[in-house]
Amino acid sequence: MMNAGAPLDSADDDSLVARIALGDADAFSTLFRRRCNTVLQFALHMTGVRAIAEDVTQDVFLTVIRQANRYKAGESNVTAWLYGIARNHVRHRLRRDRPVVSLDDSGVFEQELPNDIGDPSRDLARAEDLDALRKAILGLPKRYREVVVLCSLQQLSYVDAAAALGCAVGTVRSRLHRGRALLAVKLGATSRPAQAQPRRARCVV
Amino acid sequence: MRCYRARHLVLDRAMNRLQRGLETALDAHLNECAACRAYVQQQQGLTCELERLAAATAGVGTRQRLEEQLLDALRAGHTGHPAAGAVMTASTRRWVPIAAAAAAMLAILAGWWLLSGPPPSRTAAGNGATLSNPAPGNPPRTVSISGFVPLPGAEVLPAFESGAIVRVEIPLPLLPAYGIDVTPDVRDGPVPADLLVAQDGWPRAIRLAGTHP
Repeated sequence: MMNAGAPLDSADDDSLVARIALGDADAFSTLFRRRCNTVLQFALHMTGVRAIAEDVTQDVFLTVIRQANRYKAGESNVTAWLYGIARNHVRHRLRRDRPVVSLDDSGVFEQELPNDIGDPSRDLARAEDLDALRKAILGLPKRYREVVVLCSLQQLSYVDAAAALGCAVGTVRSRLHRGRALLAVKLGATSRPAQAQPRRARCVV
Repeated sequence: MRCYRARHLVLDRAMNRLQRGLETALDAHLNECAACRAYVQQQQGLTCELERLAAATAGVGTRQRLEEQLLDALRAGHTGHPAAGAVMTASTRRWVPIAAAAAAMLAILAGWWLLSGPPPSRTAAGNGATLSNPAPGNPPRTVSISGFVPLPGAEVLPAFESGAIVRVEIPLPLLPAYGIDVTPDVRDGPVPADLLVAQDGWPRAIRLAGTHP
C-alpha cells in the first residue's frame, strides 16, 4: 500500500483501489484514466452500441466507488475485477435492452473505423470485413462472446479471463475454442453467401 | 493424437499456453493431417482479423464529462451527500423506490401487528369515520393534524410532479415517528392514514384519513 501523497501515476492498481476506498479522488482519476478505455471497448464489443457501452462504463466505475472496500488484493487483480463488474453490467443491459440491440446497426463502429488514405476500394473491403467480424461476434452466444472478446480482442490470459468470468481456466479454454470455431463458421458463411447453408457448428470442429 | 485435441492445442499455442512436451506431438499431427493444417490457417486468418478489429477499436475512449460526474459521485458518497446517486442510471434506480416502498409498508404492518396484537375487525378500525364518530362509551379520539405532514427524510428526496394516495392502517403509538402529534389521551389501536406516494415510488407525506375535507 502506498502512502497518502505518493505519486499516483506509478502506483499499482491495487494501491489505487485501496485509496479509492478511502475516498481519494486523485486515485480514482488515475485508475479511471488507466482503465476506462479497456472497459468501454469491452462493453462496445459485447453490446455493439456505443451509448450502452458508455452507460456500462459509468456503471462499472460507480460500482468501483461503492465496492472498492470489498476488493481484496491477492485474490484477484484489478483488471479481472473490472472486467467481472463490466461483464455483469453488460449482461444486465443485454437482458433489459434486448430489443434495442440490433445486429444490423452497421453505423455503430463507423466513427471508430480507420480512415486510411489509400485505395478506396481496398479500404472499403477492409471496413466491410471488420463490420462482418463485428456482427459475427455480436451474433455469438454470450458465454462464447465473452471469452472471444476477453482473450482474442482484449488480450487477457486464460487465467485473467477465468478470474473475470468466475469460472475455471479449462472452461475459458473450451469456450474460446468453441467460440472461435463458431466465429469462423459465421465468417465463412458471410464471405460465401452462395454456399451459405444452415449448418450445425458441430460438424466443423 | 486426435483432431479434436490437436485443434485445442493449436489455440493453446496461439495463447502461449502450449506445454513444451506437446509441441512435438502437435507438429507431428499437423504434418499428417491436412484438415488440421487447414484449421490452423483458418484460425491464423481469424486471429489477424480479430487483431485488426482490436486495433480499430483501440482509439475509442470515454468522454471527459464522465470522469467529472464520477468524481462528483465519489466526493458525495464519502461525505454522505445525497448527490451520491446523481449519476446513477435508470437501470440502477429502478428497483430502489419499489423496494423502499415495499419495505415501508412492511414496517408499518409489522409495527401494527407487534403493538396492537390481533387485528381488530375492519368495521372498527378500517373506517375513517371511527375517528370522528366513536362508539358510545369510548372517549373521542382527537388527533391534531390538518392535511399532509412530510415524512422524515422526505426533504432530501427530489421534487415530485405526481403521485398517488395509498390508504394504510398505522398503530397510533407509531404516529409520532412519522411526524404526527397525538394527544396523550388517545387510545392505542390502528388508525387509517393516507400515504402520498410520488411517481418515483417513494412515500413523501402522510395524513390521517378522516381529518381532511
